[in-house]
Amino acid sequence: MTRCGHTGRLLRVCLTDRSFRTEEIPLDWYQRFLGGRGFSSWLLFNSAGPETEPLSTANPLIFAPGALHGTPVPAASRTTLAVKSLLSGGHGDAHAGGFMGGELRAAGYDALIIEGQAATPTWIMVDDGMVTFHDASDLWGMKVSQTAEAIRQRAGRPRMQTAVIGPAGENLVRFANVTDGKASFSRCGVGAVMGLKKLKGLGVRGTGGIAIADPARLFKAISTYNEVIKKDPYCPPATKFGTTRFMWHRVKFGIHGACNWTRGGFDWEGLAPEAFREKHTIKAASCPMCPLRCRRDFEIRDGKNKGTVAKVEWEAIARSMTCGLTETEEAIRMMDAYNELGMDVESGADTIAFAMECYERGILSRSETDGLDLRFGNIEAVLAVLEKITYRQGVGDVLADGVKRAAQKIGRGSERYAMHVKGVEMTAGDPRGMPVRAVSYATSTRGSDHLRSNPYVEEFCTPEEAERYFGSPEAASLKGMRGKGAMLKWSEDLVTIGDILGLCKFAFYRSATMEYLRQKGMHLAAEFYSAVSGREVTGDDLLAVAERVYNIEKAFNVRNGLSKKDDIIPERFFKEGIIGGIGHGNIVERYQFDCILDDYYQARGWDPATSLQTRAGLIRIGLPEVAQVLASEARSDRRGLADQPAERVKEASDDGGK
Amino acid sequence: MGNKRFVAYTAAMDSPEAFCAGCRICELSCAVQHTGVSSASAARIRVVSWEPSVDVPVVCRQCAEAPCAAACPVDAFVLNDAKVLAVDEDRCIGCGACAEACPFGAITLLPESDKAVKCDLCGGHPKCVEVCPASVLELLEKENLAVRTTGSAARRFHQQRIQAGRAAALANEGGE
Repeated sequence: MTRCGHTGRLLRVCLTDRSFRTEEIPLDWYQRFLGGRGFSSWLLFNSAGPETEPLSTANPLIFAPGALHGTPVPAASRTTLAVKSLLSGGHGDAHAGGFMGGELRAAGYDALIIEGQAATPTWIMVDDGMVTFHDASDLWGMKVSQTAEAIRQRAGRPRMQTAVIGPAGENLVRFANVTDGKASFSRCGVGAVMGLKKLKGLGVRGTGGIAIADPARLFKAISTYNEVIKKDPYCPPATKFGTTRFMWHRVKFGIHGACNWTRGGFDWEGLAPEAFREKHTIKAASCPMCPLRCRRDFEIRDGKNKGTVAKVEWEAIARSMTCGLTETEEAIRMMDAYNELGMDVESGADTIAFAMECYERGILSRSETDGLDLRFGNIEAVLAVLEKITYRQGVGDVLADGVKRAAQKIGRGSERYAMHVKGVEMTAGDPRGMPVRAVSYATSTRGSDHLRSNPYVEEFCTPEEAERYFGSPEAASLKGMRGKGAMLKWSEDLVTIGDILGLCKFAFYRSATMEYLRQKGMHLAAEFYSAVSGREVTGDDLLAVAERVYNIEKAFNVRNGLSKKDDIIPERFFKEGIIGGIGHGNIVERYQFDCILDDYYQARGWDPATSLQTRAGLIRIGLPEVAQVLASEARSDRRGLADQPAERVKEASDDGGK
Repeated sequence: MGNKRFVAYTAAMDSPEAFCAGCRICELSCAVQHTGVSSASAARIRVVSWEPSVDVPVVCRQCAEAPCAAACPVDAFVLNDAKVLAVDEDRCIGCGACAEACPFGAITLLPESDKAVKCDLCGGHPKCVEVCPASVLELLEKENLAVRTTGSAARRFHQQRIQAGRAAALANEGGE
């Protein structure tokens, strides 16, 4: 084997006629996109166009393990699953830190595309170079862990890996997920796309591997990395408390997002990191190869829910607060339901919180909630409505389409309580009082997201570093305005490297200082890639690839009708202050938001007036094909390219806002 | 003569961080170290996992009376230069009798050739021990394992005797 660091092939499976074929991946893809999200975004751009209905069999499922996944690079654990988003109608992807992607590479593939639709429920087995199709009629309806176990039993391969959907995916819940072992591909409705294809699960077994160009160099870099994470103050608490530790950050800034993003003051002590550690921790577990070990399966040890064990991450705790829940046990029970039904807790809990606010405000009556007392904090109601969403019963059928569509259906002014960006429900912390974070949620290519960028660098960056890297010392201040666009662009590209290489963001793209962040996220990432592939790259080379990939996704969104008016956050963040907590009264100042957004477009080389890319810019970053596609589709102000005005037809602007 | 050292799974399990986390970096590092290819199927160490959240690394314990060697019909198990029992690839016929005989399931049959491989302690500096983030793997002298166990057992006996003595003394005081 002469090729190092990659398998050189992708697997294309068609469910409609139960066929599969292996295709060579053009060598230049490995230079232009590397792998992971680079491959998935490029494949999606080339296989789904404006004519592709998201909720149709034409929507492909594209699995792409990160370029370093399947190697012993620390925290190289991430695989991307891309679809045309069921929530935004634009670019959609989800990422999981499981073993399935590495197994797929061991089976000989750097990407897996699943097309078409099976006639009856099916599960498929990828076993090295062979794909077999199996009946899953009797698995249909099974919950997630049961499905994975059944497939494992049937395949008779103890070391295989699985990716399965639960009942939510079968019933086309628009925020259904796909579960890879303990990890899940959660966002953008990937599980519903799989459900629509009648694909209940995927088993993967690979006995091959990835040839390493320079093992000694790789092991040296692993040692260096392990030294760095000992010193970086961000890392040790990750091992001790897992992601539960983010509570301290929320408390510090009063950005809990509690009770449908209204409250910053919240009775959070019951969900404190120490409570999870003392009452529920089994051990510090990890995703593949990860030295940080922040994954946690929490168990309920006594009471009437004794024996419940669920993998709970920070977003489950944060979204518990969004639903007004205040106890560890409630968070664990809620997350167990999401895990087993196969749904994204971020979108799901935001949607339920929306219904709760509508209920408390009298927009939804008790008869409309099927008799459920949907008050904030009512765990039994949360669990009951989750079931209804999963099986699309009563009020659940309305909510199963996500918060944007639910609000449209309910009407009566409920739209102002629907918290989403581009139809994708909010995540992470409240952006009020943190304008650049607000803009980052708006510019994310897959809709509201905290994992699409890392503008939190403003919390630790020094003025000197801000000046050097972002052009203004102001970028280092929460209140500053200059340099924020450049900072946001850089941070989006930085974390995109993680998704391309398959490196976990917590392990590589979060840090306590700029120096450690750059060392891990750029220099060590480049060192690992060079050692594995034998192709010398620098951190700046990786940033250039990431910028290219980000632009593919932006172009995909433009093609699919998303425009500058969609780069916006919910109105509530501009108009209503946070209630309670240290950030009481904070809002996102509209002029600051607009100013940073324009600054960001300029940093990206996009037209501030329309947010459109330019032909010159796309060619400069190595995407001539994308420029060509966009040029051919330029029909209005909001489509196509910014620097081709001749082809643009002036129409009444409905850009709203500006 | 026998081998005196082996890779031991010595997780302390006295805090949540002191367990095997199930990251499996030992498996892929082992494969890369021995073959240059990152393939869990070629690893000489394996992590076995089950629910809820249990992961246990399994690796050759360098038995003095090695059942693998005894089971081998072609005498492919030989001491290498570092005096560690290893498989002579040229002699191995890939029958798997050794894998079946090993009481720990610590023999790997390579996927393509079916040839047996086992932990050779990487010439004295095992890669798995070096990369394990939870430090649950250790290169141990067998002598030290015994010393440890003897030590902890002795401490336990000692504590029990003290407690028994105190209880007896208390009973005596109460009786007076």
